[in-house]
This record gives sequence, C-alpha cells and structure tokens, in this order.
Amino acid sequence: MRQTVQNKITNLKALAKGSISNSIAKRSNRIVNDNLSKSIRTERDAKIFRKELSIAFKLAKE
Amino acid sequence: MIRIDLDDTFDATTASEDLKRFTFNSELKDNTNLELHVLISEHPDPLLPNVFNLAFGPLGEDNEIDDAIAVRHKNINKVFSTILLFAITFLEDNSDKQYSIGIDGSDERRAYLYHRMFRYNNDTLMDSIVTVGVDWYVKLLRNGTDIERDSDGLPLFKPRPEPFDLNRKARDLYRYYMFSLNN
Repeated sequence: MRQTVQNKITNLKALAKGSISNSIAKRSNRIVNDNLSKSIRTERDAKIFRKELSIAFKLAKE
Repeated sequence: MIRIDLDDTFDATTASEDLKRFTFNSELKDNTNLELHVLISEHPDPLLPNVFNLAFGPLGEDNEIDDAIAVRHKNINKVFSTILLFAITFLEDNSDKQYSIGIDGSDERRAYLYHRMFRYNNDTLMDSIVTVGVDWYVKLLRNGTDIERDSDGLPLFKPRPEPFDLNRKARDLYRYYMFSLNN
C-alpha cells in the first residue's frame, strides 16, 4: 500500500480514536437477506464457500 | 464511469472508534452540501462471520441510511474514492482477521456501477485491495438434462467465488462482489 494512502488511513484512525461519534446512522434500509445468504443454506455450504472464497482471494493476490 | 483516486478524497467529518461508521460532506451540482453516512456492518447471516456489508448515503427521515436515493454529486469520483478509502481503512485496521466486504449485485444498476468501477480501476485499487466476483451455479443431475432443485422446484443454486475477471464485460455481471485487503 503506497504511503499517501497509508497516511490517510493513519489520519482516519487518529480521528476515530476516542471518538464520541455523533453519527447516528445505525443501519441501511436496504434488504439485508441478500442473495449470498439465500444461496448458503447449511453450515456445510458456508464452510465450502468460506474455503473457496479464501482460495479466490489468494489467487487474486498473485 | 467512476474513476478512483485514493489521493483525492473528502475529509471525514466523523469516524467511529471501531472504524465502521463515517460521515463526510459532498458538494452537489446545485452547490449545496449533503452529509453522507458510510456504514460497514456485519453481514446478518451468522454463517458468514467475516463478511461485511457496505452502505452509504444521506440519512432518511427514519435516521437510517437511504442508499436508494438519487443524488447529483458534483464530483462522483471523489465520493466513491472517499467511500472506498473508509472501507480500506476498516479492512486495514483488521488486517489480521481476513475480513471482506460484500456488495449484492442483485440490483442491476448497482452491480453495473460496481463491476465497471472494479474493472476499470483495478490498477489503482490493487495496491490496496483485491476483488472477487461470485456467480451462482447449479448442479447438473446424472440424467444429463435435469438440474438440482429445492423443495419448491426452483434451481438449487450455490455460490462460486473467483478472482474478478478483468476480461469480463459489464453485460456479464457477477451476482455478488467482494473485496478484501491486498496484504
């Protein structure tokens, strides 16, 4: 990650530290039972998906 | 076309201590300012513990983020660059936890926007994040003609993630988009 972005992240963390955030948004009003959730029906489905997702991210980094 | 430049972002006006909630102001085309809220929240499905949702928009009358409202930003590139920077900050702060942020592509307009954004800004974004696209697949049964179906007779689709294919055009959208820190 280049330094300019890292610097921005550092600044954001400083802003966040000890923040008494006045942000009152708690959630979005969008539908939360999304299609990914609908396609994962069991713990077994989830385990396979998590493993495949991990592999996909690893491949994406190559 | 959204052009991402993480060096050109709005300043956050607030940031929560857990880096899941941010606010910033965007200037609109009518020269007024609009406060935008960004919220990174745990995916509600307990089977997806390390997946987070990303929502952004102004607050509606119910004090929740209205991410469906159409807003005419003066600099849409800067708006999306800012939102992505906040998301990257959250991921970076949790770099030991393999978190990812997911975007449901079921909304055609939203999926089109994100697909093009990830596709055309890959060189810029890969310095910070990697992107995965998810398709739905259905099992072909051994008779060679039928597919696996659920109890309602609907195709029993399952998610298949893959590294985002940069050759995949926007007319062939993924069903779900996910990104994680490139570390």
